[in-house]
Amino acid sequence: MTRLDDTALSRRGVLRAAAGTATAVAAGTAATGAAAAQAYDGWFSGDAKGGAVGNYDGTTVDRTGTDEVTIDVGVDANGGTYGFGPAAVRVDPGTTVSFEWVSNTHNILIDAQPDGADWGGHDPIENTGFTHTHTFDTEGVYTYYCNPHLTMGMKGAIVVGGDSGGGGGGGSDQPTVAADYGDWFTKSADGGATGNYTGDTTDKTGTDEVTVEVGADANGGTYGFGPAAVRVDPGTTVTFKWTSNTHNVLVQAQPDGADWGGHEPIENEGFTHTHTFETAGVYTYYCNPHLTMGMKGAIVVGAPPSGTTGGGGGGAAGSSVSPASTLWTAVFAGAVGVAMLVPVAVSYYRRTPAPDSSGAFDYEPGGDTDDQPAIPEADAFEPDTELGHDEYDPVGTLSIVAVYFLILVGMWAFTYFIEFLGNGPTIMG
Amino acid sequence: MTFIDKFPTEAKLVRWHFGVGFVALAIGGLFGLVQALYRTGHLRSLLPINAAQYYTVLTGHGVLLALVFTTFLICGFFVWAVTRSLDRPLSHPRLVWTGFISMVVGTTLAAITILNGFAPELPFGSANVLYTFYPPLQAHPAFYVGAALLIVGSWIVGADYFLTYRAWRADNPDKRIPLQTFMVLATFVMWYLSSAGVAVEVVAFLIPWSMGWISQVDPLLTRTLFWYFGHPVVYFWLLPAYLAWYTILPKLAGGKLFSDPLARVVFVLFVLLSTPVGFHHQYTDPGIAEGFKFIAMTNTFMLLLPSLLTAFTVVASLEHGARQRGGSGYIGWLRALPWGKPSFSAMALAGLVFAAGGFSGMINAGMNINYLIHNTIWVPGHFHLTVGTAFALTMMGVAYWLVPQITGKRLQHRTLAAIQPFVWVIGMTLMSNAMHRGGLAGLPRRTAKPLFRGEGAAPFDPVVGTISEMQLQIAIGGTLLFVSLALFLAVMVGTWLSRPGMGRLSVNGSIPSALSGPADSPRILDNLKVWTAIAVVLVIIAYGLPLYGMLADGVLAPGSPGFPV
Ligand code: HEM
Ligand SMILES: [Cu+2]
Ligand SMILES: [Cu+2]
Repeated sequence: MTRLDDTALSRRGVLRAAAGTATAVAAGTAATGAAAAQAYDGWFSGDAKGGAVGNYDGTTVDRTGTDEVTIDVGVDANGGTYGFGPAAVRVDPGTTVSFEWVSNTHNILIDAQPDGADWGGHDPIENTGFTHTHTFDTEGVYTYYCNPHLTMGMKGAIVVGGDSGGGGGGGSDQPTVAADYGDWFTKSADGGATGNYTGDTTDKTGTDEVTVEVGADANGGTYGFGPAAVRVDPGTTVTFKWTSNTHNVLVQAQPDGADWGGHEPIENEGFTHTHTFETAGVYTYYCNPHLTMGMKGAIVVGAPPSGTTGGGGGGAAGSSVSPASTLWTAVFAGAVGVAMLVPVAVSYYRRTPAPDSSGAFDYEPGGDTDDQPAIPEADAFEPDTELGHDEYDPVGTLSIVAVYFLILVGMWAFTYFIEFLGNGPTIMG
Repeated sequence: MTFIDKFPTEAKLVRWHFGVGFVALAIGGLFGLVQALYRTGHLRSLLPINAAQYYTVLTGHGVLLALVFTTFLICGFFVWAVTRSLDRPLSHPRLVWTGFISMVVGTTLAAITILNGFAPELPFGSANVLYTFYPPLQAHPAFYVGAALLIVGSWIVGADYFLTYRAWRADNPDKRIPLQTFMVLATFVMWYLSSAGVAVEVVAFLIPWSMGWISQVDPLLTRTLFWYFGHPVVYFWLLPAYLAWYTILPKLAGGKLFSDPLARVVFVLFVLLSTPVGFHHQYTDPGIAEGFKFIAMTNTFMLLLPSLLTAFTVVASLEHGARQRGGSGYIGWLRALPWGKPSFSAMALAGLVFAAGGFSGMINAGMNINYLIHNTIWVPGHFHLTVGTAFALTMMGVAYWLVPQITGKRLQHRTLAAIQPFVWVIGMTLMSNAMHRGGLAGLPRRTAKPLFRGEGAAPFDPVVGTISEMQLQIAIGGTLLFVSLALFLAVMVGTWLSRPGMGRLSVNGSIPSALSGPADSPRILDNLKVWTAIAVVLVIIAYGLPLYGMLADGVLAPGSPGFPV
């Protein structure tokens, strides 16, 4: 996949990065997996890394017919100076595009570009006045972003040539999902290459119930999921059927909002685990004991993308936050407001006159006056036998503190000698 | 006489501080529930947040609970402690109101910028910088201004503790300082000394930087200033709990404080040692020589001493109460304690949970072993035992006892109150043990992602249990904690809304004198000037050279521009 996804998998790596948690925020979003492909494969939607792009309204600005096109870097958008202006633009092949920095601390990193294209983006962070130019010769869709402000939604896209590119029209309501597993089945991913993944995804759409074998003959033993990659419709129940011993199913990645927990306990032949896949997107999973043999699988939920270059979805692409977040905001604003008012309401309540019947009086702090008695307290505790300083030996305390101390030392020793020394270097390694 | 009748002005001050603190507790606690579910992958699809907003929630949780809730409760609680123990009204109540308003304005500013993370289309900036607000993460300037107003407000409130004490001293030149006032003053000496660090960080660096007046700040320097304050702040939370354990809890148990001088020694040790230890949060930071980290580690381990002394004194005072109530045996006396009384059970259980927190604290403090758990979920596991329970649950216990006295209203929903502390402890046991074990297995903290096999972290297998079992315990524990919190708030709101003067309160506000009083302890113990001077010297020894090193290469260098989040 992309550079960011790689760092997302190495949490310690993220922490080493200068931006620290800033990147972790991005990684958190990036890690939420592939999702419904909309225009530009969902690049501008809330599901892509960095979230939704406020200044993309579903239209691609047409600049075909011009030789030189300018894109502003750091225009007012996305809650600050965090936009590319325009966010999506169409140009002819051979057009020279100038990226002009109009605010500070941005860069341009490439998310995706067509095969054979050689745009390098501009990795160093630059300030107002800087310009980066590139001539786009290869036709296709280029997506890019500003790394420091990715989480603000500072993303852009360029369509070179053609007429089927970005903000294409309509499409069905059904989400479409590309069978994009990144490098999951290749040898550069955890556990190495998966022998029984041929590059094809078995299409099981249109069936309500799908079975995946756990421990099928593959990868030099009974170490495969069969089929390794399968496409199903949203709402399909998939049954994982153990056909050999000592496997489990752990989820490596799933779309945002999906709730598949896999099956962590190790099971033997005959066991089944079922899950209904509601959320569209790509799910990847593996068997922990046999990960190193390449026992990995993937499930794609949703229809395959119909068009060619980045077609699909169209204007619906999230131009701002999801409705849920607006609801959340409203609820919270309300809750905060109400909560802030409580103390005020309370002090007014005190002023309302007392009902006569209860015998209560309109109390004013300050004690015994002509209008009211003071508020009586409970009686203080009086022991039957007073225990003075000299009669009292805290033997119970001494024994408890001694036992506590022993536990403390014991647990410390366990953590130090077994957990710490026993596990070799961790963060340093 | 009931506190509200004797000191109506002060009672009102305490009420307002507690009120705002409880609002922060309510919102922060709700966020805690959201986190516990979201990051463990349970009911995730029902939660109306996305992964980026997780950090908004996390910032809100940390700031509202660890900074806002604590500070308001402490300032209010100390108003009560000073007035009650000196047996005189505050010398300048208006000053305290000024401080209170400054804190409220600061909190509101910071809260707006944080909550705006849910609605980035609104124009209030945003502040997903987490409660540690490390540069280069950058928040809206209003967040930093709010933080500064909160701290300055607490300073203003604190000033009147000292002024009131001075007025009392003028009338009582030869008396020993009453224990509670001594504890309040000692805590605030430490607070002034340490919070100066974060004030400098915020006012001199972060505000100008977020306004764009300076283009970069030195992350190492600002982090160092933060942790200069960041460790003592945990004692700022803890010492009020100690105050409650030393002076209120023995009484609730039916006994007396075992030793007044020992309590003073403990607080003096905290004044001396709390601040020169901040580097123990920066064991993994490059750019600080090992030697300085080592000094911090030694000081940290010395801090175990006052906590062990506290364990002894407090338990001995409880045992005294239990024996006066007819308890006997080596541990059988524990049954004679009034576990059904929520004020007692909340504080006593908080102390018990704190003892468990002492263990993980010892692990955190070790310079090498810290690498095992640094930035894993072990760390939240640890501080939910300390600030999250030892402080928070103790304050709930205090509230059950004190709120009737400052409102003149009888405690309502007593059954709910009686079970609440136990629900909290069960929830915390589930959540915290799982967090500790998950941390050992390499599960990171501060992540929105449910990780089912410690992805990307240390490739440890859990010693006992599985990662998904731990995730489930965190989710269930977090839910129970939230339920317990809701019970507490129901009791408080119910009590607050009830009518005053409806008869005899269920609590009694008198506090018996200690078994062994202050009379025969050395007077130097009370001399806070001496202890402050020594504390300053220790701080200079621990921080002088490393700070000089960070400043010598330029105050803003090596610098980093901001990454607004
Ligand atoms: C309803 C009860 C609570 C629940 C369910 C809860 C849950 C959590 C969880 C799950 C985290 C870890 C999030 C992460 O690292 O990704 C967390 C962090 C934290 N909690 Fe709580 N918590 C509760 C109460 C409290 C209380 C009472 C305090 C302090 C007074 C507190 C202070 C903190 C702090 C300071 C953090 C760290 C925030 C950060 O890493 O920036 N929590 N809480
Ligand atoms: Cu940018
Ligand atoms: Cu510390």
